[in-house]
Amino acid sequence: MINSELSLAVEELTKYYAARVLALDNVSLSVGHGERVAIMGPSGSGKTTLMNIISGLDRPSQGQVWVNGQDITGLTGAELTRFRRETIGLVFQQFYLIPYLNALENVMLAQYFHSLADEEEARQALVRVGLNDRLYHLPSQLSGGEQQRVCLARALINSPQILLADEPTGNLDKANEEMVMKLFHERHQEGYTLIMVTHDPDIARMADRIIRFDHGRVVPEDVVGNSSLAKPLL
Amino acid sequence: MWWRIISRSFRNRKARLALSILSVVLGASLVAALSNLSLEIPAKAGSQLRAYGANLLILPQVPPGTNEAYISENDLSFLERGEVAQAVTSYAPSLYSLVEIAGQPIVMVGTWLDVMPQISPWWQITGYWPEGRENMAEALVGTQVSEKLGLGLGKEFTVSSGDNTRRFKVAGVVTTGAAEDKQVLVSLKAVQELTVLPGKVGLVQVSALTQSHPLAHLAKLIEEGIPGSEGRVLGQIAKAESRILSKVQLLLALVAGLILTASGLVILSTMTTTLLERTAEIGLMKALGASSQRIAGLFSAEIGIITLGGGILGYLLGYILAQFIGYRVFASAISPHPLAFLVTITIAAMVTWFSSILPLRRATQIDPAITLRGD
Repeated sequence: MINSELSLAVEELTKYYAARVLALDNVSLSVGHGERVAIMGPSGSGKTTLMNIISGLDRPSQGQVWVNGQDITGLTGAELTRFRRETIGLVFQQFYLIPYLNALENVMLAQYFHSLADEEEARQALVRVGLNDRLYHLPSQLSGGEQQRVCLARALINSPQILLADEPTGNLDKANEEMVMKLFHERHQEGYTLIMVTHDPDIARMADRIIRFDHGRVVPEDVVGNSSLAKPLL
Repeated sequence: MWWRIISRSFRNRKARLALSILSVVLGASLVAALSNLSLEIPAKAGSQLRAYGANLLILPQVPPGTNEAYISENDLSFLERGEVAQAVTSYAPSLYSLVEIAGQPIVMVGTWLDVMPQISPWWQITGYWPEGRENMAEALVGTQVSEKLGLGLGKEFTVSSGDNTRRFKVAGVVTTGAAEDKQVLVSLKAVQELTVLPGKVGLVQVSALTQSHPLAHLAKLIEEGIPGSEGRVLGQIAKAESRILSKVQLLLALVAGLILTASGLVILSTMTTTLLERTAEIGLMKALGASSQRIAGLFSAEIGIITLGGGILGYLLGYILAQFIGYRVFASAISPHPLAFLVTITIAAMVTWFSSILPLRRATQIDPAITLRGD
């Protein structure tokens, strides 16, 4: 029975890739509503595979994933697509902005796929991440930090239930890293559930809880048990 | 937003867009030229072939026990009415008679001299064609008759037929390389008067269109419409005409097929390259929740715009090409055919879509997890 208080519940999740490469090995974990969780681990430990499965971009070989009480492992391709656009906000390390659309249009793109593009709402989202003077700039005309802030505005524009960020500061300098993390902190304060993959222990310490991965498994002894142990940077 | 995505995408890939449109223009222009020509060629080629003579003869039916029979000239108005008139482009009735000129027996032909240049445009005339359908004073003299009887331009001569005589002046000397070189040609009315056969005709040469009305069918209609007549198809010319037209159309179809195949391959290659370049973009769109249908819709709209733009430009270019060919080959303009426009756009769309199916399918099957994987 899945606790409805949980934002995410993963049970005995296993993922094989072709040639029997084991990416996730019987992983179980849970994340409460409004919780801020950091996922850490070396490259190839299965962090991104887990994120892909949670976000509905990939399917597990075995096990189950519940997001807000909904089992997403049984969803069809079309249902997973709908789940992604309505439930999940994604932020990537490489930003992934459409190069020929300006900042405003990149945010509106997520609205367009969700329902209807609303230019004013998209403008407000960019103002909230401090990009009011960069609305009509193309990604190539923005710094890395500015691009990541556009991505954050895009991830939040459809009010997702969970915000998933895969190394969101991995390509940023210290100043931009702090600015982006401040924005994540503010979103968390607003009640968003935040799951973030990171290599950076300082970033991870911002989380209520750290889950460590190694060779596709959760390392139980490394779990930081409660939010009181977290040492927010901001 | 839909239009913003498409227009920005086009602006971002101007060179690739230009290449895509160019390949559609190439194929569409040739389809347009060929379809315009195909719709016009049967008439053009038909008239060119008809320049080599009539393709149908109307003869009187000879009743058993008699040697002579004629058709009434008044009955020939049937050729200018209804379905027959649509096929008949020109006709010339003739009456043949053996007459005496300077004591020599000569075949004299009475005909509509004003129509003969259309029926027999290859005749070479020194001097001029006698003017007027009922010209009773001037004659065309065959080149051999002219030499034999010393009938040069402007000379006058007397023709005797039975008790009747009439004087003519030589308006021109005709060279055909055929029987006309040994004949004298005057107006139909002059021969009818000389032979005392008013309103009678011994033969009618008909030049008719062949692409819409088979000659055999036309001959049957004429036999039914003109009492006592027999329609005879000049098989050699008719067969040559239809054979050449068939070959021309087959050649055009083969060329069009080859060009369309080449255009399709260029479009396939361009679309495949474009989609490969945009794999990350498509992966991102899917990660953001775009359905396969929406992705296909966006790319289909781009393909549709390329098809329409390339198709319209191609049609205009093809029409200019058709005009050029029309003037060079047939020495006349090619009329624009709405059907050719529809054919061009339809074929351009079919080739473009057919060539885009595989790349489009690959686009909708792109796995965002693989595209965006950064682990």
